[in-house]
Amino acid sequence: MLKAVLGFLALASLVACLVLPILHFQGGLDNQAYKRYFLVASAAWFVFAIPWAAQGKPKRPW
Amino acid sequence: MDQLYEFDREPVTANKLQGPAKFIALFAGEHVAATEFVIGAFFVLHGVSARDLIWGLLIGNLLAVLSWTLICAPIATSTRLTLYWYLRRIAGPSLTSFYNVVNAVMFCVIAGAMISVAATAIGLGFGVPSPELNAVFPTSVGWVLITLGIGMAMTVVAILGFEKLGEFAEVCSPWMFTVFIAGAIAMLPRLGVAPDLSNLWDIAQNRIWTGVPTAGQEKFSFWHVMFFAWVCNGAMHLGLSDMALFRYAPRASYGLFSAFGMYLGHTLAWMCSGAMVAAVARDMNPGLMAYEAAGLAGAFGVLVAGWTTANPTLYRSGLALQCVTPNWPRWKVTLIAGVLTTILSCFPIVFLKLLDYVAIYGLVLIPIGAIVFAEHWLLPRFGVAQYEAEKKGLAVNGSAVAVWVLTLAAVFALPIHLFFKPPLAFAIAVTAYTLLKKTRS
Repeated sequence: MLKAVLGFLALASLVACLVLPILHFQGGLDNQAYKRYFLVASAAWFVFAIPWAAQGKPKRPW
Repeated sequence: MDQLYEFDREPVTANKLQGPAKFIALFAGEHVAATEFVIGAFFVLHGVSARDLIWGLLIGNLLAVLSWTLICAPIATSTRLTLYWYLRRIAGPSLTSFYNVVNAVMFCVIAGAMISVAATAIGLGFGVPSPELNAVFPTSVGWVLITLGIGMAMTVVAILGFEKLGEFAEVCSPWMFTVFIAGAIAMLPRLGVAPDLSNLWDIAQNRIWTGVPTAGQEKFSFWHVMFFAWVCNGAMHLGLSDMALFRYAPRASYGLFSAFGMYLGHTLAWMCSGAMVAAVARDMNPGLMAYEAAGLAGAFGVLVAGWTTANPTLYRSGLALQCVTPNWPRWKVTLIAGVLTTILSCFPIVFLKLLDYVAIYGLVLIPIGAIVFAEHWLLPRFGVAQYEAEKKGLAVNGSAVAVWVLTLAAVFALPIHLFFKPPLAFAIAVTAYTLLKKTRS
């Protein structure tokens, strides 16, 4: 369960890393704000992806 | 890598073969590296036009994928051995050791380039300018101190924490890819691209890949891009180094998974770094490019990309050197490789001439791949006995030495561009080795 949550949050961070520059390109976000949020989304990726990757494969149910 | 030691000297067993996901992840991760910041940017500086770039990358990378699939993977899945151990049977132990030393030195130069690229990001924070395009020697004390600092830190980490950093590198790969994509998209307004993308092709042709080289840079055409895309990993596919990887593949068709590295990394990432360098007025400074495109996270990305790709390169270099120093512990050979790499990284030429160096790297090692290819497939067809060196207990296969040296001499003497030489070297070496062995038999 924890692995799934971490994986979802990591993926969401990665999606944010891709959406933010598009928002900036479309004029919805100024340059400074884009860079600030990109930094936050990048940090979030590492915060969630590192423990997600460290989680072992789920144990077999038998 | 340590856990694969059990198969260093013997074929990989059927129960250890890997599925597609492993190969996709490996290729996608390995080919989105620090060097991508430099290579894509250099295509802009060399005046490649937008149309030449796109066609060159599509066709060149296709040829690279086919080289993995039709040349490297079939031998790997047939023998289930690394190139090193298969080469020992063909070329003899002494020539194989010499090949490994050459390989180790080549790896050190690549790792040195990674350190230099990472240094451009650190240099931003300390106000140390990136070296000029024609720089060969260190340009400032600050540059030397930064490269020495990063090099020493990387060496210590490669010795103490290779596996931990390897795990960190796996986590970095998807994010690194977003740094390239995000950086390029974020630079589009600065390049003048309209939000509806209506003028994207015009901007690509007139602001990014203009077809006009920067002063002092050679003009590149479709052929340069295509051949470079094909041969920049020449040591891995035509040179057969990736037998180490594909011996774990169930079938040779797994070579097609290299497309994930070629098209996500070598096509998309190179195009993205091209857009980034065009947006910073063609200033060849990966740290600055990434900082301008993605802020602190971008500069961190350049540092991480350099670090995580230099780490396994240093490790491989240490492993390659270990064959000539069998009684030395791994930390000692990694330390020697690290010191050599760190010294090399002080010289900006290692990353400012990266395109030439990558081509030379492939060119020097490809004849050995060609010799193995000829020995494996062609000698049996021509009725020539295989593995003469192993059967007769020879330390050196004289035919292999002659073909390696003469092939390199021939292709270096040819008045054609460096990027066009590696495939020619492969063809010459295959033909020469087969004819020589046939004649001598």
